[in-house]
Amino acid sequence: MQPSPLGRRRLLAGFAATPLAAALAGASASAQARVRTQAHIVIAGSGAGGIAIANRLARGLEGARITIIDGREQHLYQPGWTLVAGGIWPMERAVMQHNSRYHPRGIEWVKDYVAEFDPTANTVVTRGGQRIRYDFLVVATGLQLNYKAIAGMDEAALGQNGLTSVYASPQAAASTWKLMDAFRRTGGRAVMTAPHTPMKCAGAPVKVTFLLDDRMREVGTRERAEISYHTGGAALFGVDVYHQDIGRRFERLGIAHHLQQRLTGIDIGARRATFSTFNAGQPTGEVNTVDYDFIHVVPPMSAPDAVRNSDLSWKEGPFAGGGWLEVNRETLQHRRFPNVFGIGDINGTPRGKTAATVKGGAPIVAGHLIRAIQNQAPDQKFNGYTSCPLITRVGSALLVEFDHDGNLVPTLPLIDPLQDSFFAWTMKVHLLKPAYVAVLRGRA
Amino acid sequence: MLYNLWLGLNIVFVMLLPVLWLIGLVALAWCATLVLALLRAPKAQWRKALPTSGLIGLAGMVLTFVLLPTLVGSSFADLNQFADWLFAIGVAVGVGVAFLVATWPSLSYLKKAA
Repeated sequence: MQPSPLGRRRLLAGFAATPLAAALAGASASAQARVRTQAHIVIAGSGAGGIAIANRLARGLEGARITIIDGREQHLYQPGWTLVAGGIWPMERAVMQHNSRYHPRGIEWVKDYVAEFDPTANTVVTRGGQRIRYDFLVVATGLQLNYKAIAGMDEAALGQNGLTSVYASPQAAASTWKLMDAFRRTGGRAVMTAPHTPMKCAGAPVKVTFLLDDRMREVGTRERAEISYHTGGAALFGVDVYHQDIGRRFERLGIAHHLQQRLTGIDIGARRATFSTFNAGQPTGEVNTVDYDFIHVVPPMSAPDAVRNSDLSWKEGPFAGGGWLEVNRETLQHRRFPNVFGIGDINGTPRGKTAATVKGGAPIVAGHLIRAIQNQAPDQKFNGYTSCPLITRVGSALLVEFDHDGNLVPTLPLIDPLQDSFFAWTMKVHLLKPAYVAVLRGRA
Repeated sequence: MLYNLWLGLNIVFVMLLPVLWLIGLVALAWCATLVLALLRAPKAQWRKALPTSGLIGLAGMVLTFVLLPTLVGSSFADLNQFADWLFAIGVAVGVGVAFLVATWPSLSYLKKAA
């Protein structure tokens, strides 16, 4: 039986009308939700957090003046740098478009860096001396890599003499692969490090270690190498169940691991690393030197000096030493300056220095800032969601997800967070970057 | 769950953005075959075309399932969890259905012409 001409025409009309109806409904809903205000909002930092907040605020506010301050013009996809370092991605894939491509329309972009925060005067001062007053401030500066804390370390020497560090830049990530590829053909002594401080993507030092091991097994040269992992921290990972799991994996793979060993010096020409032993944060006086053919340096990290030296940083407690932003861990609002909010790596909260934390925190910060404009108290609680697809070898990863307190919080109940997963690998390599772009645009 | 669905849609949208023009062309071409089959060919053989489209869909599904691990830089040895198999099968089924839907209108019309 053939459909009647009238039925066919109705069917075709339905296909055409559905997306139009959906678009109209969406536009209408978003127009109704916008809050009218003349507030001036300054966002210090144009990374994942800053841009995500800017887009959400632009969508949620009408009439607000939004200023982003950041001197960096190219947007960098940092979650891709370990993939570059492991030879999985080319470097170009971890470098995104000009930041302006992700900014919402109508915002002001000051191409400079904040040198001073004066929250009492509701003012920031740029390196160029420009004073910018604000009604509300979002601190999204990210953190600072303190390579200078390692005596003898020279960032400019990365990519030569077996010296690597995935954190410095996409170019440094690419040179990490170049040297890793060369090392796996010759073998020798590989020294992998991690600092004692909080760090962004705490899984990266472990990922690079697993990738080095796997890449050597790939070409059958693993027996020619001695790989050791030295962390300045008291654990291999900040969540105990993963600390235990990684320890077991290291043992299985023949990777020696040492805790509370801080990389305090390096002789690049002689290829010699100096580790100082600590116990509960105090130096024991024991110092070891280790000769290497390949070293992966992960520097101590802290808040940028501009935040650390301001009234915005924690003044006491576990986050004071790093100068991290003093925010309420649930509302992400500053604890002493209610018109200030924090997003991303700068926050002085337990754990949570990943892009996934920005994904979870951005709607919270934007929502609470909009409520603050209306003199309303925060109404949501952020659980500190952190995610780190921990690559265990090429083709497989652990889907690590946890909250502020180190509780595992798997998003997909079918996935065992302690078992290697093809899906976690696919997510890391192919799906997370599109998700990141959606977060930047304030859509997810 | 709704948020994850929304996130998934956004991921697909961003992934397809660079080739949206191509998808648009393909969609237009498919719509043209659909319109042709629906309006201009009252004797289009939808039922007769279904097995052939089904076979094409099945071939697409099997090919996708076999090639998927390699295409994403992994291997069958890395399908460790139930969720991994579910994901791989889900993607393969999705591609198979897309092949079926894409070819069905054209084959219906061609069956009529034959």
